[in-house]
Amino acid sequence: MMIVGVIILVAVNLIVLSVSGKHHYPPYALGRVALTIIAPFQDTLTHTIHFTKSIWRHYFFLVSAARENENLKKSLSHLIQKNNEYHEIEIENDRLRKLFDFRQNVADEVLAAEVIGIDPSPWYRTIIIDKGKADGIKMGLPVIIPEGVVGQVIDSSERYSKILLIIDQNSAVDALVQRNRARGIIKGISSDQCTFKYVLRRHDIEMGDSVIASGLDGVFPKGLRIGYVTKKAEGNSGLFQEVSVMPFVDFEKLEEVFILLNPSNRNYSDDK
Amino acid sequence: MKYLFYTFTYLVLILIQTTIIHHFRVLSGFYDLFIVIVIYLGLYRNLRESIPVILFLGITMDNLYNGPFGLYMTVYLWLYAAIRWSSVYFHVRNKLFLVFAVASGVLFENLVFIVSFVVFNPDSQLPGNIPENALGQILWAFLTGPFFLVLINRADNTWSGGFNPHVSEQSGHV
Repeated sequence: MMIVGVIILVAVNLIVLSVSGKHHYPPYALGRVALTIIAPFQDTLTHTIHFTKSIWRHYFFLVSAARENENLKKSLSHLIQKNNEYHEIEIENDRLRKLFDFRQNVADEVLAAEVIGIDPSPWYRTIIIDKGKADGIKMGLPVIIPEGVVGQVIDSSERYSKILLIIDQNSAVDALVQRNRARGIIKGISSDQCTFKYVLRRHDIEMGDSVIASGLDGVFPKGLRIGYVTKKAEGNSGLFQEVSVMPFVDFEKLEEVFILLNPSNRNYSDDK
Repeated sequence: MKYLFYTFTYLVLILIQTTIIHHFRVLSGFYDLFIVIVIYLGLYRNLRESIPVILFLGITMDNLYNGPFGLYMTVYLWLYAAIRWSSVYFHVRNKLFLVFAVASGVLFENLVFIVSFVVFNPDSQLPGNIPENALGQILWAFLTGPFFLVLINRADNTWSGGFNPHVSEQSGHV
């Protein structure tokens, strides 16, 4: 009797897992229960940690700050001069933009958010941020920081959202090598690096080549920086070469991110 | 009151796992702390009290991580069953058993994840850092697992005793 019970239990377990394993994001409200319950606590705790860190930096590090202050004063005079030059360039830049009517109104609507939690499993790479549907976040919106692409929104409650990082095994980004426009797919492998798949062997890929979003996946606007090539193995057979890419973003130090709220057609490679 | 204790412990552990640990690089390879609660329930608590707690822990983790829904619940339920089964054959409150219990739980969880990874992602390669990641987790479990077990047991007894002095006398001690 007990053996039959165990067999039934194992069978039910395997069936449920095989069904849920086919779609990773639970489409029902159950999938957001924990996000709604846990995220406010994560939010409060993150602010407390930042507050404590700030006290540590401001009060307990005064000694090193004094030394640093002397050095900073020296470099300040040099920077003031530089700043004047940059200010001049900025004015000139503004003037030229107006003069040539150069893409004045294309700036994306960007929303800043704070990272308040990470994936509890070391096997998967997601983060939780403190902005949700109430702030205009929708599924599939791209998430970036100045260094490059972070990931995309895969789930959101009213005030919190879950972001799939590009290094997660379930992530794929259509990408180009900036130098020679060789196309492929940036695929996460749940470690610090990504693989650049389906790059044809005829393309000459060099170490250090920058990889950018191609815009063809309909999620990430063209030209967003992704990473640089760290390893390649052409092999003797097959259509494609194996390329490893190190993301520009340091995912271990991620604290704030930006969500592009209207990422439709902008080409970031034109902005330089 | 008992469920209030579990809710409090659950909140503390989930916040440690998702919010505090990533601020400390040295703890980046830490193991799943809910395994400690599951083992504690298997060793010291009855079935009726344990199952709702385990289901709740499983649903939480399945919500927060990015893998197949139900995997954590599977791990916790089978781990709980294994601990209950072990108690028939071993002297489970032996200190040596406690040292190995959490580490074995962590090893079991990692094995289940490797199998699920291979089954659900046949086209993907396994992350290269799996061996050191799993070993790091097991080492952490060896070092801290028994400590957490004792801590939860003490906290549980104190909590129960604080509200009902008779309960702490009846509860098990590590």
